[in-house]
Amino acid sequence: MSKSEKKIVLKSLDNEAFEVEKAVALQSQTIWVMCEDKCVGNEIPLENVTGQILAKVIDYCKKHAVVDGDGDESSEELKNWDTEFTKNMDQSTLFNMILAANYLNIKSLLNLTCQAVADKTKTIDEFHTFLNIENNFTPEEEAQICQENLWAFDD
Amino acid sequence: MTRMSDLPVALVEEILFKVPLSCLSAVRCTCKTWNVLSKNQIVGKTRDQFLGFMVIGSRLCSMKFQNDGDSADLKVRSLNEADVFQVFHCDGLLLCLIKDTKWRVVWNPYLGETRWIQPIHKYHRFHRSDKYALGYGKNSNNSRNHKILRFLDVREGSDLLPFYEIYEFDSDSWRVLDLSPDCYEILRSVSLKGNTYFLAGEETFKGFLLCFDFTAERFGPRLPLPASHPYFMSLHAMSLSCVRDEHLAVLYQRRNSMMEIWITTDIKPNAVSWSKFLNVEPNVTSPDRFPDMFHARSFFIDDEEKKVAVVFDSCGSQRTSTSYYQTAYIIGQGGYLKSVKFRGVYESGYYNPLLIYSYVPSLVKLQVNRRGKRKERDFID
Repeated sequence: MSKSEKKIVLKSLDNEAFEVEKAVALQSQTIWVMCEDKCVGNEIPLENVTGQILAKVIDYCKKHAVVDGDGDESSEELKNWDTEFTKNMDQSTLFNMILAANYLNIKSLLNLTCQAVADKTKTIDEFHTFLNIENNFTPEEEAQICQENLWAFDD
Repeated sequence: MTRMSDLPVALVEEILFKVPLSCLSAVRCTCKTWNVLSKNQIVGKTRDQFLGFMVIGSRLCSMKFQNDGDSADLKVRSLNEADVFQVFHCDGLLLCLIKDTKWRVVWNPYLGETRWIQPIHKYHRFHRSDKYALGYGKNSNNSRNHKILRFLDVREGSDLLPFYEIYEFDSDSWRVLDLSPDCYEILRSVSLKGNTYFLAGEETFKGFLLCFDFTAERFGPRLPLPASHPYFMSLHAMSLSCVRDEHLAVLYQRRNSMMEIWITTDIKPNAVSWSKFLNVEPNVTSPDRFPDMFHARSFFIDDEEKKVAVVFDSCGSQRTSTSYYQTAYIIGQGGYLKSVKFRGVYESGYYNPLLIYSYVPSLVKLQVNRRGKRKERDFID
């Protein structure tokens, strides 16, 4: 296999081009299907992902790719890396990562980013502020729901 | 894109289901959409659930246990004013025995639904010496038909005749069963995969397990207890527990601080095999010790891999000037023992920590009763 066949170019919504190893990109089921169909050349346009997000997705895929014996990272190390990876992302980035992981169909990244959102939200206030959701319950209704779910405790 | 509500529903669900079950209240209070969503699918199912239920005195309580090795935290929350003296669990449902002899109540905490059940006829009121089991049979289309077995033990209740009755949730009615289990006495039980396993014995005190199969509606053959079962041991010195909905565990207490826990490697209504899970021996170096009159009454396995279990005794609570404390004991390999105090529920007299651990919520609907609307609200409020 020549060098050019092992590389692939991903093009973001805002026309930023990323040249990556094929093995890295193929963790995305969406890209895998595109390559299988041979409907694209060596350059794959990704119309739903911005360059800023795509760069992070590629970081993740590089870390998780098993390329030519580079994949000997221990699972413990990978887990720590994953935690660091999402730790300081703001909510906007996290949501866009979730959408990108969903669009690109990278199951492990979708799990990781959804878990990161779930971990950052524990209380009602956090659900409201972090997730930017409006409360449409009356205080009486809210008290009633809290009472009914007392058994499950609250963190 | 910064609003959660802009995410497709499938992705919102993906996030919701990763929130621990203990955030249920927060999820449901967030907004109406989430409240509805959380009743159609289970929130928190992907995490280990360290939640259980227990009866202390005559209070139904929920329990949360967290153990990260260095520190352990056990919280107990009293849930209702109704007098509950015993509770059974199967498939996310709790059958609560209350002091009112005209009713039994089944509660699905996750859905917040209850069903109030009357006896087969009004002259056959529920009695304190009745025994119960909660389980489910499989219908021909493989759906679950939840059932309650009510019976009077063969040798108990001298002025009452033995009987066996079964209540079906689908038809909301009782039927009489003609059964004669192969044993002298039937003691406590635990439900596993829809069937109930009873600790039973012969007149000579020799113990074994009997499975009530809720699909066939009969008792199976005698199943052996673990091999090292000391012949002389009273069945009352044993307790049962289940590990997830997969294995049964049995605890033998030989002496004050000598215990053995065994766990099934395979269990079916007609066959069982065991392996030793944990040996508890006195450890002089441990800063904690069991109290002198320690009687292991119930237990649960907290960590199957690291072999950690938590044991509750039948002693009462300890009173300080401001509150009541009870103690549970975390046991592990190599004589590991650590006591954990929890703020108990004050109950004078009988302390009976019946335990249900690793409660897993279910979406089993209990529909509001036709005739049993009474007291619908005041069970948990």
